Amino acid sequence: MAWKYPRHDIRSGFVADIDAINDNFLAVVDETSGSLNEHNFDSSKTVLKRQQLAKDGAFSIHVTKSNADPSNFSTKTGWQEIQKVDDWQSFDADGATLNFIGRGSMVYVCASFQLIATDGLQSVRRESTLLTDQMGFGFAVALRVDGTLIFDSLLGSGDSSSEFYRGFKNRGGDVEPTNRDGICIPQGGGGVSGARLPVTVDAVLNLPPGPHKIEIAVMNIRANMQSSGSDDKTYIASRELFALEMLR
Amino acid sequence: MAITYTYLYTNTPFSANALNLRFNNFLGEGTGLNAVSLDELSLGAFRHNLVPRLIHTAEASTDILVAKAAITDPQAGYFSARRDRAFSSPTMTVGEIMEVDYKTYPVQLGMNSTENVGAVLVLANIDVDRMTFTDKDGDVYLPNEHFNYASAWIRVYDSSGNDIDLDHTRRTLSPRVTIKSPGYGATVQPFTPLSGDSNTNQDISIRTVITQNDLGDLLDVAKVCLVVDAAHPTRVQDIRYGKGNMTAIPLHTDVS
Repeated sequence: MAWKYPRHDIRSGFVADIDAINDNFLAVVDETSGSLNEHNFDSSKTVLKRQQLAKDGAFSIHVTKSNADPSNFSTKTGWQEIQKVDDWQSFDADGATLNFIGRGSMVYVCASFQLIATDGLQSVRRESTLLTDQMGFGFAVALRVDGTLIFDSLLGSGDSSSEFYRGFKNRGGDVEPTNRDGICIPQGGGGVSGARLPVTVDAVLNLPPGPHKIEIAVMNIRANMQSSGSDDKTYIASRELFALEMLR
Repeated sequence: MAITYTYLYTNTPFSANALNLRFNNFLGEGTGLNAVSLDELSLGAFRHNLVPRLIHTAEASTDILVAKAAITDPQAGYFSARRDRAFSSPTMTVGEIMEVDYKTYPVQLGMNSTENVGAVLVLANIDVDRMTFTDKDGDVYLPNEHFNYASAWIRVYDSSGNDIDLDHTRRTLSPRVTIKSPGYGATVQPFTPLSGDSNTNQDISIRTVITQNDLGDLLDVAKVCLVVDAAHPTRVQDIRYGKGNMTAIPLHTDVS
């Protein structure tokens, strides 16, 4: 019992009072009818199960994923194209966009995926695509929730307004290297870069009830990344996006 | 109402019968406190120590869930594993490089079993220290950014020993040694002498939620492994892996 029972100890010789009798009963009746609290149960032994509660009673996870094989350069089945555009892009596909009806709670949102900026080949001399080989400014990656980029989730920066943009041979300009030595000079900036790059971004957000759309968002900083001299796109291959509602 | 109590108003005749009536409503055979069902209880007043825990299995007590592993146990905890190697001693090991083994408590997914586990949340990281590869002439070369790569993915075992690779967790990482002048490009240079930026030193990070749909014919989730590989379609690669950690948490949650 949450409260010691009986509330009023009626002993021999006491005047029996109606209020005391009511109080003694009602303390228990009220608790069993809705006023239970942690004192009523031994929490070290018994925990309520998720399915005994309503949909909005505890935890709920929403998941979307894609098996797109990151080694399948021939057909690129399931890969999502990142255009050679200096702006944020998202992708309407399994594993890259998650729609769910939220019930109003803190939500742990996480995306884990594969970036690809290569044709996977070694066979040709690459001087004709030196800018590609330089793997220059890279990508900025983030989560987009209901159309708004979540700054907390941002991975990489490369924003020339806040980061020093060194440029080719420290000249401050976006100059394509003209010889082999040139590709050994990094373009600078804070983007994540690589021919093949596994990326994870996440955030904990307080979302209101209602429908929500969560997306993987990628920016090809200064439109500097491309897969090869003949393919100016880059890609997202295998991927997963999930949101864990932590309801109370 | 779980219990119907007849209120005793002021000036009500106050007799043994009046008290017995209330006692009987309250404690009588098949009534009152002796007949309270779960449906009649209001659960909304429950507080944090009563509502379902995020991490949950039916068989494992709270003490087990948060227990520290023995010193001789390479696992850091019941739901986590680590690859505790010094920065100076990465290895070229391939295969299942880390595992979280639920041992005697394999979990069924779907919230339909006694474990009440809806999914398993996996967070895995492994450091890729360096890549080299052996070309057709037998010489060891620095890797090429576009050509060479390390790979990793998550594998799940059930209590019968069957396993499945989760294809959506497959990740690859390029060497990222493009800044090193002599080693870059199609005409890669022999791997001697070692100089400049010849190491990779980057993480492969994988996050996934294992659900019933991922398991195929598996009975349950008994062990979760991080698998790393050095395989390449046309070359022999050597890849050094360093520190790593992995967590695989059974979640007591609805899945959609």
